[in-house]
Amino acid sequence: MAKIGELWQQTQGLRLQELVRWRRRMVEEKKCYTEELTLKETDPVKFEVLFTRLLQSAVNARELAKMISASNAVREIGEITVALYTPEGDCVCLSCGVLLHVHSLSWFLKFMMEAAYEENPGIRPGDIFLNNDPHIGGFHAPDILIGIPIFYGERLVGWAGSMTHVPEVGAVEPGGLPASATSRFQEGLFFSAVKIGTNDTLHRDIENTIERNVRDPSQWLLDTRAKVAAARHVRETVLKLIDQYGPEYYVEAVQEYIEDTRRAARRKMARVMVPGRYRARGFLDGEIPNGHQALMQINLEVLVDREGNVSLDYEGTSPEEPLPLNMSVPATDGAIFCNLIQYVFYDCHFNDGITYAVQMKLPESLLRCSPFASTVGAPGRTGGVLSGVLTQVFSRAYYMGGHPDDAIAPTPTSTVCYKGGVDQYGRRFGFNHFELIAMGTGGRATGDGAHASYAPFNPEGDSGDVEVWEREAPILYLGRRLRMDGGGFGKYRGGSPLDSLYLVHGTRVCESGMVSVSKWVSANQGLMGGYPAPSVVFAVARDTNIDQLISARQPLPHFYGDPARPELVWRLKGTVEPGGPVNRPATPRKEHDAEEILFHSGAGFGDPIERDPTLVLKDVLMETTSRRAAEQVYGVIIRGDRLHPAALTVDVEATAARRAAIRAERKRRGRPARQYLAEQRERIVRGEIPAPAKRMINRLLSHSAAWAGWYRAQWNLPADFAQVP
Amino acid sequence: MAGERRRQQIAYVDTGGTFTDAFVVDEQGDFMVAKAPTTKRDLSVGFYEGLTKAAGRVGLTLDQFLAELDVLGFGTTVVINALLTKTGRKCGLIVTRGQEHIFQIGRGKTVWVDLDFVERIHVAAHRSVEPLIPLHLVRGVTERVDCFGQVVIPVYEDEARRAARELAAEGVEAIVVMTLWAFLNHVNERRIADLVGQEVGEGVEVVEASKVSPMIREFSRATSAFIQAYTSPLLERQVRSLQADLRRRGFRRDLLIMQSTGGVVTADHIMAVNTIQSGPVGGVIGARYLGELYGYKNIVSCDVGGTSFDVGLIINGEFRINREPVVGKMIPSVPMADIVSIGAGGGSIAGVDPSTRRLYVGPASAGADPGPAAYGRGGELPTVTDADLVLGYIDPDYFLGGEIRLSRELAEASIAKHVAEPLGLSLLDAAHGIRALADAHMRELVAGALVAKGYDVADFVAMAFGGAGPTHVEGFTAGLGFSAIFFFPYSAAFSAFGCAAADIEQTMPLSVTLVVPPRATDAEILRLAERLNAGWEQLEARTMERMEAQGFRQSEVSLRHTAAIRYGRQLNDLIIQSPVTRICRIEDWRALVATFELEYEHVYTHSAKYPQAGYEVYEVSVTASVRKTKPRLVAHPVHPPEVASRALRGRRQAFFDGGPREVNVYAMEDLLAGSRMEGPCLIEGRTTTAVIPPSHAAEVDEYLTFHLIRGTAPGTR
Repeated sequence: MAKIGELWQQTQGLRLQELVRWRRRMVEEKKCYTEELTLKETDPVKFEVLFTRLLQSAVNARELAKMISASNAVREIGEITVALYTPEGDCVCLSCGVLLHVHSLSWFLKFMMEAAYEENPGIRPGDIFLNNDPHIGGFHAPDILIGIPIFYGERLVGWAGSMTHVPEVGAVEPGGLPASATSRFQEGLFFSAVKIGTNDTLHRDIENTIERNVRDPSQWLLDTRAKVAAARHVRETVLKLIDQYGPEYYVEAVQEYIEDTRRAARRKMARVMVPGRYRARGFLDGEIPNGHQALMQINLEVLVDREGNVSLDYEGTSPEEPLPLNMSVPATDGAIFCNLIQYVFYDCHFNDGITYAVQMKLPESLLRCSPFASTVGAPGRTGGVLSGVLTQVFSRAYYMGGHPDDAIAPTPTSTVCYKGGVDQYGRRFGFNHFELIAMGTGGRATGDGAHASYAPFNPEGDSGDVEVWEREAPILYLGRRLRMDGGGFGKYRGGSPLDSLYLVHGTRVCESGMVSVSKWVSANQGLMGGYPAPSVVFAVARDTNIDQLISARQPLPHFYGDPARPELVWRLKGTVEPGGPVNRPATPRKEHDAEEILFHSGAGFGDPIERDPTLVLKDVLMETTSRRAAEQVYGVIIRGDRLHPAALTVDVEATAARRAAIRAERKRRGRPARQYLAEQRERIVRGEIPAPAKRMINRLLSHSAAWAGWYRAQWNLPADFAQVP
Repeated sequence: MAGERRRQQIAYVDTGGTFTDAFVVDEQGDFMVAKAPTTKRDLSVGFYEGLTKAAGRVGLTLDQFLAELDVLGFGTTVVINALLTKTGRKCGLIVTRGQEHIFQIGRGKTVWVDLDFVERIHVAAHRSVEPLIPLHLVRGVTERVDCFGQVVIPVYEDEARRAARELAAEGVEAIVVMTLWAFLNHVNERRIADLVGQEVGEGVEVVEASKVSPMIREFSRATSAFIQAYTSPLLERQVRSLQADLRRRGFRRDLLIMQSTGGVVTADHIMAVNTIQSGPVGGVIGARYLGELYGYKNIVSCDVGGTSFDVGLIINGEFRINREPVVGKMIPSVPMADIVSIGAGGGSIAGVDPSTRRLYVGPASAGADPGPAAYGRGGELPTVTDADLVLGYIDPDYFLGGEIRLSRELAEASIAKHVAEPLGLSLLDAAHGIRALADAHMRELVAGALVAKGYDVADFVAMAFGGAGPTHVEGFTAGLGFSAIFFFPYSAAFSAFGCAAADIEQTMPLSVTLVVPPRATDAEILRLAERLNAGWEQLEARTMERMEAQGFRQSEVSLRHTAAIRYGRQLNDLIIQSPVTRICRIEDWRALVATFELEYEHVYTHSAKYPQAGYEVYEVSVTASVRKTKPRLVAHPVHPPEVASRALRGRRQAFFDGGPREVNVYAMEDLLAGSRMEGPCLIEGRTTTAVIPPSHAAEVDEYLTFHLIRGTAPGTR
């Protein structure tokens, strides 16, 4: 059994660059973070008490930072994370919040150490480092990471880190997620792992650079103060604990926490997952600025063995595109980590032990794009689909393994509407509308998804209040409701997201854009016969007669209404686009132009015609399921014409008949699998598939030999089949 | 003075989940506590039973007892009970058209806001909440006011009339009207309310949300108005009947009702929504009151109950206010004393996690039923109380003064099975581990409440109470560096004591919008500050009106003004006690901002300041208060420290320094002022036990308050 102090001695005198490499070598050779859990085994109580205190310091620090921050993402939706790292940059424990960035912050810290920052610019007590370069750490330019070293005497004993999403970073468009960007050089002001402070004081030259290069610097600068305060809180707590426990105990304990989580993660996998090979795919669509409609796939194969070893292989994922949907390696890594915590390892004292418990193969693709030119402005959309693919796999495994309570259909992606210009107070502004994280959760194997309360990157989702959004940006809501038929249909349906309709209000200068996917193609499928959630809708109405309608006390549009005849279209006169592109660069808006977003949401679980008709009736009364969907999708016939519990009833006999008819229709349409596959093969050979899909397949055939082989085998195509004609 | 009966002066009755505590103070300042079971179907039964018991102890009938009292206060749970059991009025809701789903959306966070850390992250555990008012009782009316209070769309009056008729036809008993930004300009909301009133007549109450809560955030404002509409008749019925009955029995004053904000009001002027959670605030008021007596302005109140550990902060003699409290799954905009809680208390369940194979304690609690394993009521899982019992700190025959007999065997078996064996620990080490981890959770909450908010612990004293407060006080204060640590023989009834010490108070907040850009001129600032002045003026008038209605003269009432200030674009603010009551000159504004800057720097450090961003004020408030008669602590003659030996009850084995040791056990109620007990020892009271570890001591001061002393030198407190 190892003795306390061995690690302290062993790593004495190592340069930080060597320390990082030493740990990597050790993990590769020993297949673990540390071989023994001496402290845990000799005194589990002391071990646990120290962990409790470290974890609480991160939780407390996050609360502190929330008080100082200026980003609406922080206050309204809690997009902030604080974490503690080992000297070599592995996460020991973290607060709740945006879980994406925990491991990507680790990338940033390791980058600095491997790049010999110790020599130049130096890593010393009181230093403050900042990064928003997504190829070093983080997701995209608005994710601003702060890391400060923790020195005990002259020895580096750890790092404290914090991250917030800052809505304005000086990109080609306001709001930090420019839909028009085709390269990195349009995405804003990057700091690639820069020392921004010494002796706990921010450098004035850096602040000046930020003040002069972004539209609204106060958010960036106040958030930086918030993160530094949070990191300092963690640092001071750690130093006091080291005084109490001794440095030898502390450095040994933090590595044991990581190893302990790694082992717990494997045990959990072995306990809940049925060993085997799982496959799943997700899709992204988008408009490339040159006019192409792009379709991309994320392909995943997961291998789980009896010991709980898990490997994720993304071979067969589409190559990168000139769209802001590409992902850097730290971003992809972060998205995977985020999903694993929420869906599998939530009860495993999560930290970087999870990343060491899971093997990953990440080919060059939109998940591992070129670090120097590619645009990665809005990778959250891709991360959402990536997360959804993982959720599908784990939920199937839970279901098969007899753990239905944990089986849940995916919520794939999110949609950001952004604005900039001069706000209602006469100030320059850049704004992300963070209602985006009020999506629904997916249907579960044992019940419905929750409405408007979730995003794949943040389980603590929140819609915020209309009044707060109107105070933050020059907008005036005409309506906000749960989107009708917004969750995926199923025996247990997905939760509904929001349907928000507002006017531009109180501004002389305003431009507005949106970045999203899933306009034509559902990003992730439902589970066990459940439907995917409906696609995203972004409607815009310009130069309308709304002011005349108000003067004449005429009815106004308040929500989308019947998709075949949206309210914006039939109630307003003017230039109305009821469903234009969802990846739409910012264009100017005038006073009282209207915008409406129907967000994406969670998929359904199970066959909709198995849904309890009384639950369908309840949803109809809640205006989350339409009468049309009740009849056509759920096969539930509801009698009565007034939306009232006393007026509506389920016609049991007619429902049984309708469901029988749906089953009969399915049988009529059904064909033997062999026949279906043969027909589809013919379509492929003749090139009779939609252009975006054809383009996607052909790019993949050229890009991935492994996937091309699988594709040819799957469709029984000749070995020389190179492209769909 | 034997034989000379003292007049009973103050009584406060606090309704808890299990017991109703009557806290009674006589004219000399001595206390007594009488307990009665809480009777949820009719809270007045427990109310009278508690008072009757107290009266009996001093040889009085209930009527004689009531006739003597100067002050009688009541903390009622009728509002929260009605919400939990869904037994309030049938309510309808009229909102700005387009916002009809307000309660179905429920601000998203209501899905997870009451979940613990793991469940929040575990998405499959998330469930939607049933709307407070079903959609078929909700109507929209076209209208809009913007964020400056400008009317953009006037009320579509036909819609309002139709909505009223439809809801009346549904048989609603009350209609809540909530329109966006009505707290800035209520013209549309009031017009709708008037039209509704005309349509529905007097049989249906119309409640304007901006009158109940003139605060930003429509979901919370609507929630507050709903609570008011849903429960107010129940509360009114209860207090009116109690008031009338008390008068018949000879009580000559107005019954006072405790509010969530920390003050009391006369029964005729209570708003139901302000009583939603009045219990926990008692502890904070009690701590503040004792702080005044001892000369401490910075205090942390620590309440260790059966299921939760509640921490409140008093800074410069004022406790913090939470403007968005979470009550169950509701987030009303009702100012409440800011109390942070975790699921850690005597009933917190311990175990070993199957995945991590690590010890956990809480947040789940065994509650009172089935309770800890030692209760023998079917609870099989070990709790903190079981650990305290196994460690010898609690006497199984004297728990709650002997009211509940504990089984040490059941506690041992439970800890052995669920903790000791899975971790390979001895029984005592396992029990010690449970206790140590529970203490660590509590300690970190205390540290978070102070250190994470930038305060220096050395500037604070800690006051520990609740049934398990003295049992764990050393553990959750260890190493934090408080300047003094107190606990009390009446710990279990400390909240009732605090409520008895509450002043008559009305706090009214108001949302305003004041954005002062970075380079604003003095003239611009003064022009903008008129919004602040108007807000304060309005609130002064409203609070004084309430006070006068309760029979107080203007000269008796003191007013405190606050402004919630932040830097430009910042998302949170600091509530600043304003040094001025109006901004008439630029110096007034500078004085206000200087107070903010000082407080900001104190809390968040100098480097977090950013005055270049300008300033914003989104809320002002005025608190009107009148001091009332309070419990008076009596100074007792101080004896030499050795007098403690007179209260020595015996010796028993308890776990200290890694193993069982034979230690002194003192009778808490028998200890005289000046007593000093060296650790390790136990001090047993009727409702609590204090654990004094080695290298510590406890001293009793002239007010019979206990001080936990670190180190062994006498008089080091």
